[in-house]
Amino acid sequence: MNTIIWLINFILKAIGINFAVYGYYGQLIQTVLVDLIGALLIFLAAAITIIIVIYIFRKYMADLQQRIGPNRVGPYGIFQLIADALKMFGKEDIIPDNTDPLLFRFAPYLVFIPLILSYLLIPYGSLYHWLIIFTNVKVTLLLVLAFSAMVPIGEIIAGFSSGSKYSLLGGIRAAAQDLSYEIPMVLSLVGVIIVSSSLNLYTISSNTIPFAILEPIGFFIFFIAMIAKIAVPPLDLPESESELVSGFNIEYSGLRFGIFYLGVFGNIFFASLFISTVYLGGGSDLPWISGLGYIWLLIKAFIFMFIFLTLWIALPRIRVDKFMNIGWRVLLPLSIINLIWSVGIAALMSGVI
Amino acid sequence: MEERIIDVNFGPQHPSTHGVLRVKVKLNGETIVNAEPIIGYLHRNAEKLSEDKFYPSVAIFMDRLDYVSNHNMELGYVLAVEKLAEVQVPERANWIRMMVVELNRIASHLVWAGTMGLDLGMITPFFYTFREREKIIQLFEMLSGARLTYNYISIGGVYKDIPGEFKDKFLEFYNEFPKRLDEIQSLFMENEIFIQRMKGIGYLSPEKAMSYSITGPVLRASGIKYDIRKNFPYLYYDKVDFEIPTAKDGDNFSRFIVRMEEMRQSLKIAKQAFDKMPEGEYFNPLYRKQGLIKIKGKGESYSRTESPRGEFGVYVIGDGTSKPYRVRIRSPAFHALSATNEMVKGSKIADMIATLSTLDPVFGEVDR
Amino acid sequence: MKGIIKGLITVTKHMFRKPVTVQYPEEPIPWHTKRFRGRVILNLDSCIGCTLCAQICPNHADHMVHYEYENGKNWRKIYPAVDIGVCTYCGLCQEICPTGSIRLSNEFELAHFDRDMDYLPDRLSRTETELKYHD
Repeated sequence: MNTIIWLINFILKAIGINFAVYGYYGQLIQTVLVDLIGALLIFLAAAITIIIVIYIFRKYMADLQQRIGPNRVGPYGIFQLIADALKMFGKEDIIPDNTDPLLFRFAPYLVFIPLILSYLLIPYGSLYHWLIIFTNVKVTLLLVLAFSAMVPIGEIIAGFSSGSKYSLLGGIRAAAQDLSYEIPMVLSLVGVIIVSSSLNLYTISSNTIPFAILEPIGFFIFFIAMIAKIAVPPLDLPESESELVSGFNIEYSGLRFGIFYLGVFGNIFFASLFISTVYLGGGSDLPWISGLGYIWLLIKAFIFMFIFLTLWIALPRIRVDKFMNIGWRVLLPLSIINLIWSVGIAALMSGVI
Repeated sequence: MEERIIDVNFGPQHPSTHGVLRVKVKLNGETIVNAEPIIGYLHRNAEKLSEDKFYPSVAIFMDRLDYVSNHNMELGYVLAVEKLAEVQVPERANWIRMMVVELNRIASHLVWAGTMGLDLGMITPFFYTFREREKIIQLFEMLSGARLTYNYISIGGVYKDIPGEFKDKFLEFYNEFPKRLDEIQSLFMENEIFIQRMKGIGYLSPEKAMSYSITGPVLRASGIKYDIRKNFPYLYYDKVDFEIPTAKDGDNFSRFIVRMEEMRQSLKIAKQAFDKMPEGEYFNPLYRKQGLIKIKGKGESYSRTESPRGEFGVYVIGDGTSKPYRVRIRSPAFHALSATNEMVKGSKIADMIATLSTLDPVFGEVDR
Repeated sequence: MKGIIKGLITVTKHMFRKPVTVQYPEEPIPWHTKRFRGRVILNLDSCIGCTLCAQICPNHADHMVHYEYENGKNWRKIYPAVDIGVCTYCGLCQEICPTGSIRLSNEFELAHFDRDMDYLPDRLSRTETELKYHD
C-alpha cells in the first residue's frame, strides 16, 4: 500500500540504518525517522513543483502577451526562479513598527504549511506497479478541507496584524471571500461523499464514473470555488493589486513575502490536483492501461492549471460585494440543488428506487 | 455594532492612480463616504518657467505636460503663439499637424485602455495596447527623431517633412489597426465581469458635467455633443469627414465606448489628412534658423484645441519681446478630476479605481 | 458567460503569434531612424562662437566656455559646452546654429565610467565611439 514509506525504509536498511532491531523503542525511532524523511521529501517535491509551476506560468503568460518571458538565467530562463529564490533569501526581513510581531511572523507559515500538508493527502495513483500514496487514512477528504480552511485564516491574520489600512481591507476581503466560497464548496463535496459513501480520496477517485459526469452542477460550483480558493484573478480579492496595492501581504518583504508568493502558485497546483482527483477520477487507471495513473493525474492537473492561468490572464476582477452575491445567491442554492440531485443518484445507484 | 469611518490615503504612490494623484478617502467598510483628490505632486512650474524662455523653447515644456499625447500639447501652444505673432503657416504643415495629432490621440487612448484594464485587474490588454502604441511611436520617431518628447510641431510649420518610407508604414498601420482594435475591444466589450464593473458606476449627469466645466470624452459620454474640432474648427477639421461619438448614460461604460469609437474616428481623420496633404513647403522659412528668436508678439491670445482629454487651452500674453510675458494652461483632466467626489461617493473602493481610470487623468498636465 | 469565453479565445489566439520583444543589447533596434536625435556633437572648426545655441537652449544645458582652439573665425575663443545630464535632445540648437556646426548625432548610448556629464568642447567634438575608445 504505502510504497514510498516502504521504499525509504528499504533504502535505510540497505545503507545500514536500522533501529528496529533494538526492540520496541527502536522500532518507534525507526518509524519516526522514516516519516521525517518522507515529510522532507514531500516538502522538497512540493517546492520543486511550485517552482516549475511558476516557471510555466511566467512563460505561458509571456506567450499570451507576445513577450518572451524569463530567458536570461540558464537556457530558456529555467534557473530564473532559483535566482529569484536566492534573492528572496538575501533580502531584509522588514517588520514595521505598528505590527503585532508574533502574529506577523506566524501568518506566512499558517498559509504555507497546511498547503504542503495537503499535498500529502492526494492519492497520486499508480506508476508502474507502485501506488504513490503517502497517507491513506479514512478521512483524507475531511483533512484536505480542514487544511484548506486554514489558509484564509493565515491571510486574515496577516492582514490584521500588519497594522496597515490596505492590509486590513485585504484581510476583511479575505474573510468575505472565504465566507462566500467555502460553504458552496463543502456542500458540493457533500454530494460526492453521499454518492461514493466514502471520505477517502482514493475511494472517491477510483469511482467508475467520474463525478464531473455524475454531478455537473457540483463540478461547476466546485470549479468556481476553487478559483476563489486559490485567490487569483478574477477572484483575487484579498490581494487586489490595483485597489489595495497588495492587500493582506503589503507589509511583508523578503522570505516571508516569498512564502506567500510560493503559496499562491502552490495553491493553484493543489487546486488542480484536488479538482481532478475528486471530479475527474484523479490517479485511477484507465480500464485498458494500468500503471499510468500518476501520468493521467498530472495531465488532468496541468489542464486545470492552464485553465486557471488563462482565467488569471484574461479576466478582470469581480467586485467584492458582487462576488458575495454570487456566492450566497447563486452558488449556495445551486449547491443545495446539487445535494438533492446527488441523493437521487445515490438512491439510484444503490437500487433503492 | 459600532460604525467606524477610517481614513485611507490612496496615493501618491499607488499602482492605479495614474501617476501621483492622492485621494484622501473616508471609508465605511468598503463604501466610500467622501473622496477628496489632492493634486500637486508633479508640479514642475511649467507656466512660470515659460516666462524666461524664447517662444520656441517653451514648446518643450508643452511636450512634458501631457506625456502621452505630446503632439496635442505642442499644437495648442503653437496655435496660440501663431495667433499672437501672426505667423503664416503653409498648408502642408497644417495637414501634417492634423495627422500627427490624430495619431497621437489614438496612442493616448490606447494607453488609457491598457491602464484601465490594469486597474480592473486584467493584465493582458495592457500589452496588446502598448504593442499597437509602439507602432504609432515608431511612426513619430520616423517623423521627428524622438520617441516621446517630439518637439515636432514648431511655430510656423513642422520640424521636418514626412520621409519617404513613412507612407508604407503608415498604410500598414492604417490597414492593420482596426483589426487589432477589435481584438482589444473583444476583451472588454462583452465581458460580463467588465460590464458589471462598469455599467452604472461613476455616474455623471450632463448638468453636473457642464457645471464642473468638464470637456472631452467624459462630457460626450454624458450625452452632450461638444467637440472643439466640430464646434470651433481649427486647422482643417472643417474639411475632413468624421463623427463625434457620444453616449447617453454618463457612466464608466459609456466613457469606455466613446473613447473606443474615438480611436476609429481619429484613424479616419489621420488617413484623410494624409491623403489630402498637398505638396509644398512644410514650414515658414521666416521662423526658422535665427528667425526662431525673432518671433515677437504684443497682446494676448488664447487657443483652444481638443486634446484626448478635452479642451486644452493655452493663453499667451506677449509684451513685444521674443519671450512670453505669461503663459497659462487650461488642463482638461484637472476639471474632470474635480468631479471625483461627485462620482464616487457612496460606491465601493473598486468602483472608485474604475471611475478614476475612465477619467484618464495625466498628472503632468493636471499639475503642470 | 459568452463574453468571457470570447475574451479567453482572443487571448489564446495570441499564443501562436510571435513575441514583439526586441532583445535590445544583442539585437539591434529595427526601427532606429536616421533622424534620431541623440547626443549633441560639435564641429570645432566651423563654430563662430555666436552663443545663439546657449540662448535658445531651454534648460541651459548648452553654455559657452572659454576653450583654447584656433579656427580663425572664433576670435573670442568661446565654444559651447553641453551638460548631457540636463539636455533634452529638443534639437533647437541644431536648428538655430547659423553655421551648422552644432548638431544632434545618432548616438544614444551615453554610459561612461566617469560621472562627468558636462561635455566640454573637446569632448563634445568627438563622437561617443571615439570617446569609448579613448577610455
